[in-house]
Amino acid sequence: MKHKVLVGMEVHLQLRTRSKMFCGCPVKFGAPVNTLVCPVCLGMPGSLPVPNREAITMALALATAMGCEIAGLTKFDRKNYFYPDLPKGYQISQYDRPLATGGGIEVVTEAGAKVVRLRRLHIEEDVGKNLHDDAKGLSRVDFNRAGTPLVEIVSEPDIASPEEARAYLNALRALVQYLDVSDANMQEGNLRCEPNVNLHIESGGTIVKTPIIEVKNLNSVRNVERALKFEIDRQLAEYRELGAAVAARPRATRGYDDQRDQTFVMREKEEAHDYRYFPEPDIPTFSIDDQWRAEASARVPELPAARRGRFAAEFGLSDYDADALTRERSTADYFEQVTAAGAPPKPAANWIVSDLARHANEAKKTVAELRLPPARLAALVRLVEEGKVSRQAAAKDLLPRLLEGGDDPAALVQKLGLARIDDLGQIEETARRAIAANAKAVADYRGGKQAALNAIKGFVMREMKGKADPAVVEATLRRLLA
Amino acid sequence: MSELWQEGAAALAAAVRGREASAVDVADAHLERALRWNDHVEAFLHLEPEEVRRQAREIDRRISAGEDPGPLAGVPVAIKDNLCVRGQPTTCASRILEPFHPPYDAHVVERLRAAGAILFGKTNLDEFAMGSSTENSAFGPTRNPFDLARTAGGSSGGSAAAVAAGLAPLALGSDTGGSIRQPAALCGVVGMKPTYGLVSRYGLIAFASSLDQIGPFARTVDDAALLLEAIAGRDARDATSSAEAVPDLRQRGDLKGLRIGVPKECFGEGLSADVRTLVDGALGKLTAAGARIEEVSLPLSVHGIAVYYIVAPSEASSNLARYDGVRYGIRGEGASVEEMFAETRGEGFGAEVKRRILLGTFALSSGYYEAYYGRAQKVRAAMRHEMEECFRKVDLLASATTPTAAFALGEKAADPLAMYLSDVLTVTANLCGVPALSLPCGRTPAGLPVGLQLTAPRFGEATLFRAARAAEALLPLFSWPPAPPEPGRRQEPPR
Repeated sequence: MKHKVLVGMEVHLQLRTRSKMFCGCPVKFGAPVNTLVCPVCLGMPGSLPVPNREAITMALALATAMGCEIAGLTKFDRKNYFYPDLPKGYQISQYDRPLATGGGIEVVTEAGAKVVRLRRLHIEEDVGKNLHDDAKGLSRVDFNRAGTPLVEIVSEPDIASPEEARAYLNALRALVQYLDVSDANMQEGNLRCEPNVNLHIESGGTIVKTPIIEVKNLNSVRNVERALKFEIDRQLAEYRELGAAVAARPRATRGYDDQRDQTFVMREKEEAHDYRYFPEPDIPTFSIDDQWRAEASARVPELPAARRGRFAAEFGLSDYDADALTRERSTADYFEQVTAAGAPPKPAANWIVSDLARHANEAKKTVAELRLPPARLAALVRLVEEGKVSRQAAAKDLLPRLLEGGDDPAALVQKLGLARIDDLGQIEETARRAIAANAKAVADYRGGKQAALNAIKGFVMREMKGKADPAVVEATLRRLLA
Repeated sequence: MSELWQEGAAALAAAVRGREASAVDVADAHLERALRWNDHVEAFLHLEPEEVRRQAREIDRRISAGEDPGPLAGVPVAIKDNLCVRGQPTTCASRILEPFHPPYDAHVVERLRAAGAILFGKTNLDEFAMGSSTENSAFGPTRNPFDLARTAGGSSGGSAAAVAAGLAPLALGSDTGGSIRQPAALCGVVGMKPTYGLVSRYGLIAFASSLDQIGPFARTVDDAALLLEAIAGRDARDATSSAEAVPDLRQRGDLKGLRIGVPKECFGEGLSADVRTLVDGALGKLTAAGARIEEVSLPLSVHGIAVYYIVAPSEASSNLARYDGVRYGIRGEGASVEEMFAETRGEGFGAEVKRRILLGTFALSSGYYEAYYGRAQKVRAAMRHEMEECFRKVDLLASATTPTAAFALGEKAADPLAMYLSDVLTVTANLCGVPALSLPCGRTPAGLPVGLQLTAPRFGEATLFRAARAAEALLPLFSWPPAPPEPGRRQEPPR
């Protein structure tokens, strides 16, 4: 039994405009309840929506970056339904003339690179947020988010595995960060995604299609991946139980419970939700002229894939380093600033991808947010490359001081006594002490266990406070133990 | 000088600016009359004498300080109760908005304040402007000042009656399918619907967004122009507001050589003999004054009512979805949120509003959209094209405003279709977005006013007002309705 996984992704992305989609209220996360509201985003009687041109330009830049075809003539439509968080009883969205169609996103997994095709991209407004107070049996609505501009990006079902789904979301996030159009933070809800998934199972020459399941409640890329894994297994199990009859099961919406790592039914059957779409009469149909397109194109910078290629070619970096450096635009910018400040590119890349990335990770920041001036890192890299301080001592003692605000790496090397010890006599003396103190490791090494040398080497490095060159220490030990 | 309440807006503004009368005197004269008459005509839903006087005192203070409060200095303007006035009740004559006080002014209200006008109460209407008689008001119908047993028309019946009875020299209304022009005709005053986009709709509580337009009521064409001048022009808060320059509304001239088309479709069955006689008489006078009257045909206009009653309820079904009890207005009780919605809307909306919500919901529903809303929009586009073509041949169109003079209250209340047909001559202007004006052209033998409707191409207000001024001079002057029986049933201000 062979099966093919088909995942389509529907992503809602909050645009990082200063004001909302149809009024002047600020777009901000975490403000006190109902403080970022006005008659328009509250849907007060008589208020009218006026489209935010900046939001449309941002969406156009995103569409351009993804190679979409931009509509000449476009319009807004009303999507009608009742819900307490929906102030007007309809959402202003786009129905049959979306801002853009087609295009695609390149995703890279271990299986290689491929393009996930896009179906459409359109603009709509966000809704408010229901807040439930179960203790009091009360529900309240916070409309701060209502009217925030969203783009909805719908892919074709080209995603063939949970890993690809993760890669798709990461690629999209990188793209919008490069374009600076969204924070794309799933925890804060700037990026929300609803994958739909089904299987084509080949059995006895025919193909059985499992019903398409839409998955909701996903608040991290990791949960998207986990939920899809669960869902694929669940659909396979359902097929094993029902056979070809599984195809007649209804389409459904399932929620993801990350505590239990499983999905559960939210809505069965294609409840033909009739949204009664019709053209928004308060906003005239509008055209995207060449000038507007050019304005949007001008905002598209060098994108991650291109920059990755350039870093590899221009600086001779490995694919791994080039990829790691370009995932965040600010990190790639930082790397270029460090090389411009005189650091040799390969070691600079290594410092950023390994050491700075680890510090950033611990501080839950990006590399750029560590705010280590590029010239200072460049100075440190040069000291190591010139042999003034060992790589190890620089990483362990010097870098933390620089991150705390230390400003002259060369002076710090003197002050902290970190200068590399090149005195071979001193190294050999310490090596002899190490051999004497580590009888068991010495015996193991001589018995053929190469790895045992590391313990003796570690002893030497510790004794010398990391200031010796590890390669010299190792060579000395091998000679003495030969 | 005659009594202050008998004066027109231009004369009152001149008197106040020239310190011949104080704004407080003007306000008091109208308050005194409004409080006495309102028991009979029920034109106002809300009128707070103290608030009116406060505004008038402020105008007088500014004048004493040497300031010029503006072209409408001290002129009372009655406001249809579907226009938001900050902090004042704004009910749309609906139970659902009974407790609603908007936190902001409509654009037109801001403009009136800036022009020095006195906001003079909120006038009655059919609930959410849906109707042609004000009988759909949740708070009782307005009566025609010329015959209290008859309708003042609708939906802006309160505004029309207030101006006709001398309770205010000016009033604002809104016109979605004839809601300014029809009551203006039935009450013997001037009422005008501007080109779609000339006046910002910001703060007008929407009925049918693609048709709604705010416009003036007055007793003379000059006064109507004065009010329209004060409210017209681009507003960034309404995306459908036009960037075109406001037409010059002050032009004067005669009718010589003006080509006036008379659509034959407007003179068919259903036009009462009384109305036909008066309109024919008016057209004769225009001809005698040099206008070239010619018959034209607008074959698609016969579909106007059908198209209108698809488009307007469809938009209304969506526009009125926001009244769910969550944020403002009344709130029903319910065990679930769906029950709360249903209870709120069930209690809050009247029968005609519910009928139109149902009609519109059906017309937009999946499987019916193309047959109803989609097709109606296509016919509407064809009608606009036909209208544009017609205006290549003529400068203006003329017809009766309504098929009959004011009908009796209750006469059509049980028959929605008969009621809908009273808009047959007015809906075309809304569907085509063109301006149209109704001016009185005489009284029937029973003493009921009849209106002549002039229609111009989009942004053709300059020609429209110039011709209306010339026509007004040829037609019978405005005359006051008979005094109502004294005293009124109640001597207290309306709620």
